[in-house]
Amino acid sequence: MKFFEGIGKAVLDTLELIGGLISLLCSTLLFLIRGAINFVLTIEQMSILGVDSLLIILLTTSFAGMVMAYQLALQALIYGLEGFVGGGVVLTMARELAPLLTAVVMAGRVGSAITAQIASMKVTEQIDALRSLGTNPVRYLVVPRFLACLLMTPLLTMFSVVGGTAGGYFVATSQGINPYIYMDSIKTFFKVSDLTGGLIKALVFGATVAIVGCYIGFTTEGGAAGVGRSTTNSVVISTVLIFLFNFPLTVVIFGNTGIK
Amino acid sequence: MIKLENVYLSFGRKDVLKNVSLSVPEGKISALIGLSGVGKSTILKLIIGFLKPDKGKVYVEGIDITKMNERQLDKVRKSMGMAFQYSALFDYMTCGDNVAFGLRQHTKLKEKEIRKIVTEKLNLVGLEGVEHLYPSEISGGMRKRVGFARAIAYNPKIVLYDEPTSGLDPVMTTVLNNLIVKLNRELGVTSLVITHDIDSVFHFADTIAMLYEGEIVEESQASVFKNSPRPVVQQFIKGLEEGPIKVLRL
Repeated sequence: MKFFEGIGKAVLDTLELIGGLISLLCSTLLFLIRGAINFVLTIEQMSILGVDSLLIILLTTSFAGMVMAYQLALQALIYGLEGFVGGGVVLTMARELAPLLTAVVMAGRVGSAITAQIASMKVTEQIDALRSLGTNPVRYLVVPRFLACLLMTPLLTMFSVVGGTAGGYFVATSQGINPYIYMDSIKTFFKVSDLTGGLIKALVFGATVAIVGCYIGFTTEGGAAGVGRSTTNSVVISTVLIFLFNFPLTVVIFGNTGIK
Repeated sequence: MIKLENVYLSFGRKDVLKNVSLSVPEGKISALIGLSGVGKSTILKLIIGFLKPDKGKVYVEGIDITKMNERQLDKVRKSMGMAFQYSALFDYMTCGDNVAFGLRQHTKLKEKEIRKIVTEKLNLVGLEGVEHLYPSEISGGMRKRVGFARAIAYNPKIVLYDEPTSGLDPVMTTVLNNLIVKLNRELGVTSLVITHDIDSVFHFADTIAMLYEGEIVEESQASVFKNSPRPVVQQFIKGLEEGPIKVLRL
């Protein structure tokens, strides 16, 4: 009996989470449509959440590009396929790895920070204080963070593509791939639509990180332990949703763009 | 000014408020007392619109707020100020910015004017030169006073105090009680104080109500309340172990 109760509770909790996330997203979008945007707070959040993440994201994606180029170059040199390495690296970076890795780093660094701040405000009654002062917490706290993530994730993804491709170039050429062939391969295979597709994904992932981070923060209960729990949950849920959304997004965006 | 009419509220299976009716007269200091966890703060949350009752009406300045949406409630809240039990100051802002928050959000006042009001309100609560300090840099009593200053910054008609003296030393308790009276008299605001500090209540309150097991068991003038014939009131006032209030025996 307890087993079924457990399943029932898990289903209800999941449905509550989905409902809460959709509801918060709708409220946030409503404020955006109404133009209720605090630009000072948004720019502040863009700096905190976006600019400060640049270095770690560049580091992560550059090394990802380097590893990929290394593996590709090893095989390419055996089979005489040097002309595919540059294209392979840039396509994978633009379409998949850059948006995905950027979003995962954002979930870990930015999502956790958003949750920790809002959760600690919740357990110390600061959210109630905001409301008592006639200020809507969604408008004041969520809208700037949502906009900041929405704008900064695609921007950081562009840097990631550049970082990954540059890292790949460095490793591939050191492995014996001709620099001109590497660059020529990029020109042959890479299209702007590959980048825009990746940026659309980044947009969705950025929104996911912000909404999950804020929602989990708002629903925090139970003091310092609750804040810790929420922060972990926020990173886990964001990361899972990012990977979950990535597959249908890939099918929809790149479904008809196979290399012919 | 504030009126609760036949209010019922439950959380899950627990009935927190059962047919509660309460009046807070205009310009007076009213106190709501009762045991810890009896639902006193819940009543404050109903008045400020954080919670909605299952049944009954809550009137603020003659308007029933129970049917209002968040946007309408935000407007009502601008006529109220709330001082929280643990101050609830925004910890990432200076004390000055905390007091200025409502003014910056809802008025088009110039920064110079806002700073002037902030200093004025901080002085009113007996604080000077704390504008640039963060809440973590001042004592608990000072934090409470900054919370008071924030609550009155927007010149509200109603100020709600949630356990304003809990956790403070006797001297600071007296200072804050005097401050509640001072703010009431100087600003002419209607005040509702939630507390279980019985010594403080008779010091500042004009009317007192007691909440027990989800019901208002006594509501009267402070002088009348003190001599209430109800055993439950007398047990609470005198802090007796024996009586109708069931306590956990160790």
